[in-house]
Amino acid sequence: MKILIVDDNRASNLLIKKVIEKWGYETITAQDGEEAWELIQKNKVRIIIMDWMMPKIDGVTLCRKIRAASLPDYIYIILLTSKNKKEDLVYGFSSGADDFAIKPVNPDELMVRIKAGKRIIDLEEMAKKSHTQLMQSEKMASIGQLAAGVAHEINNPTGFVSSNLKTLSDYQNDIYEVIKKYKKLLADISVSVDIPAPVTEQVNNIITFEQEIDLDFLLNDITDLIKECREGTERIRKIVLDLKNFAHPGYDQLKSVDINENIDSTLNVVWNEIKYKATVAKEYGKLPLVKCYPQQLNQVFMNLLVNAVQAIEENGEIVISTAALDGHVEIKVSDTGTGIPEENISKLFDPFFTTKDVGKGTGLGLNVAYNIIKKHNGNINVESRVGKGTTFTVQIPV
Amino acid sequence: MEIQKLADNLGLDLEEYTEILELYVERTSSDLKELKTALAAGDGEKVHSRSHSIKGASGNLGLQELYEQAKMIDDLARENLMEGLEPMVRDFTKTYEKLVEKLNS
Repeated sequence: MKILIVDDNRASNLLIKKVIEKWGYETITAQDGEEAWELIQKNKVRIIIMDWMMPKIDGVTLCRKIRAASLPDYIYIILLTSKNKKEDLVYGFSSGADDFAIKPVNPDELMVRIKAGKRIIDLEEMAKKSHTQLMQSEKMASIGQLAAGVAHEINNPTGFVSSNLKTLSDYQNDIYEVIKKYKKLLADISVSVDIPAPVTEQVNNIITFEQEIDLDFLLNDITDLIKECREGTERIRKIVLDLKNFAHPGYDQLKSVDINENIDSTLNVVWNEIKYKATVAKEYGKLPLVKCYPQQLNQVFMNLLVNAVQAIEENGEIVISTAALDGHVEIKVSDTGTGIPEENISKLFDPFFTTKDVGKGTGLGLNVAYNIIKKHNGNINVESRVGKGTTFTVQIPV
Repeated sequence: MEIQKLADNLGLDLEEYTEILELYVERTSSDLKELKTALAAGDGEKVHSRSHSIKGASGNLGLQELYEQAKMIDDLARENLMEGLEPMVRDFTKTYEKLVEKLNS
């Protein structure tokens, strides 16, 4: 924050500058209104101390100019003058000045007037912050609504696609069986004698046709195709679930659980993903039962574990430690993965923030985790070193 | 008034205050010259504006006597009452020159 001093008398200008700098403020100076206007455009000026009587543009005119312009931040203006008649004060204030100081300038008086100005500036900063936060909340709320709506629309057709694929898979097994039987029949007929000519002809036609369409390949491929389709719908289902959680963090029931058990069961679920890349070390402390939404906490643990293993490129270690501390339970998930760069740490829990390639992650995992932990009145923190690894610490009050 | 005392009153050290005082003298000498010329020419407007400027700077720097003398000139010149001004300007000049001498020593 800079304080601008505008006075055409260089001695006065320098005096005020020296006096103000002694109080620790940063100052810039101008000799007249025009120069002042230039400086305002290029510097973060928040308070101006300006003489009323100046050549070119006088104090009052400069005041009006500043108020009429849409500058990014509010500027607190203190007019210096030896005018002390009421009409003059009214005129000065109505041009947009925030305060007056009657000359000759008394340093103590100047200091308290500047302090008053600083209070106004601080208030403005708070107002701006609140506004930004409010806009952010509203944006998140409307994204949440959109997500919930879209999720619902997608769920319906995905549901029957998934169910149909299951049925298709069952049918396909049966059809495969019957084709096997047909093949055996054809094989038997081929090596039999006394088969009527039309039958032999049909058998030959069938065998040729089988080769043309590459029946064996077809049958195998059908299996793969159905499998991939089912995997695809499973992914859709998962994304939709994440999206729904983002809009409404779950309709779980409160239960008292041993968190160590929850972690173990989650570990079971993700074990397949972990076992090829990392060893898992468990350092469990004795934990009291915690009243919580167990399904949701499981989702948090799952997100942390999956992130941990994905951060590891070839081989590494994941350490899960739990401890009972003062009034809360602490769970740490550490990995020896690639680590998180400094500039990403503040965005980590933002919705849709991801460093994965398009299609490989929703960017919602940590945001959902964050919301769940907040719902439990807990805390989630991260520490990371690029090249060394990352540790997520979750604290849940008991 | 001692220069050190003036500096102390403003919470500045001697070096800083002397620097400011030098600027003051530079500007005030020029203002004073213009004022005298204007007075001789009967230009009340100019006398007013120069004395106003001198008054402001003198006051800010804590030069009480010079401030009061300049203020008297300013108030009269504003109303275009030029008659009694010459002796006042002389008085001001005397006080001013004493300051300049002290500064140069």
